[in-house]
Amino acid sequence: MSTQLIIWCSVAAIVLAAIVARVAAAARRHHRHMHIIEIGREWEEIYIPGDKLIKDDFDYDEFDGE
Amino acid sequence: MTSTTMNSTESKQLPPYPAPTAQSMCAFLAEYATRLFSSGATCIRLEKNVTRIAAAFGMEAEMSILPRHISISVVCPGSGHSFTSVSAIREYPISFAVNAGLSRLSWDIADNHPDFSIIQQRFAEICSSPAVPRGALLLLVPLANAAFCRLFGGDAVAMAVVFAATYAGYLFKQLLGERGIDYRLTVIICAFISSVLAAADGLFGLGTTPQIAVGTAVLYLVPGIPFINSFCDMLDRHYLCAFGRMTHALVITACLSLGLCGGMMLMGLSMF
Repeated sequence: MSTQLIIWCSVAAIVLAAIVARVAAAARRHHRHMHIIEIGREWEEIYIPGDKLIKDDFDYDEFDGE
Repeated sequence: MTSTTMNSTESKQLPPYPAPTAQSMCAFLAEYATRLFSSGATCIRLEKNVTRIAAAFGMEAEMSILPRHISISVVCPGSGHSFTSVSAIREYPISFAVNAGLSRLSWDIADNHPDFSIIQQRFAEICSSPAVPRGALLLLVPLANAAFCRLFGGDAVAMAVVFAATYAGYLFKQLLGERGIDYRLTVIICAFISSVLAAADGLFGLGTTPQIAVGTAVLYLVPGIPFINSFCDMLDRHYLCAFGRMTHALVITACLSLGLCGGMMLMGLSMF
C-alpha cells in the first residue's frame, strides 16, 4: 500500500469517526431515554386484532397470558 | 434637555417620548457599532447608521474605528454634555441578517422615532435572532463548493469528491469552533483535511479533472468578506481599518495555503 493511500485512509477514518461521534451525540441528545437494545415481549411489538388492550382494566402481569 | 435649545424645525422631528441622555445614547451606540462591525459591516455603513441614530434624537456622534476597538463621542448640543465610550470589538460570526436588521433599525429610528426602551428591546431581539442552523450550513456549503467546482470546469465525479471533501472540512471547522480552537489553526487543519480527501479523485483514478477537485475543495475557507470590506474601507479612506482587515484576511489565506500545500505534498500532487 502506498504512502498516499495510507494517509488518505487515515484522514478518511478520522473524518468518519468524527461523523459517527457527532451523529451518536445528536441521537443521545434527542432520545435521552431510548435504549439501543431492549428485551421485550412479542405482543408489545405485534398486535393481532382481537388481542386485549393493555390500557383497559387488565393488570400488566395478568395480561401476560397466565 | 435637547428640545429646549432646538429651533422650531428641528423640534418637530424630535420623538414624542423623553429623549435619552447623552450618556445612555453613547452606551447604546457603542454596543450598536461594535455589533454591526462584528457582523461584517463596512466602516462607511457604521458611520452612517450611528450618525443617523444620534441625529434622530438631536445629538451628534463622532467615532473613530480601529481594528480592535471603536471609540464613540456623543455630544448633546442643548446641554453641552458630551460622553465618550471606547468599546472592544468582540468576535461574532458574520451575519447578513444581523447586519440588515441593525441597518433597518437605524432607518426606523430616523423615520418613526420610537421610544428608547423599544429601540433597546429591538436591538436585543436582532442580536439574539437565531442563526442559520448548523445542519443546513453543513449541507449548503459543500453544495456551493461543488457548484464552484463545476464553474471551474470540474466533471461530475470531481463535484461529488469536492462535496464530500468540503463536508468533512466544514464539519471539522464546526467541531473545532465549538471547542474554541484558534481560528487560524482551524483553517490549517480544515484545508489539510479537504485537500487530502479531494485527492481521492486522482488517487483512485475516478474522474478526469482531479486538479480542479483539489483546487476548489478549500474555497469555502477563503476570507471573502474581510477582503471585500478592506477594499471598501480603503475607498472610504479608512486606511487603518482597511489595513487591519486586509492583514487578517491575508493571515487566514496564508493558513489556508499552508494546509493545502501540506495536503498536496503528502498526497504527492505537484503544484504547477
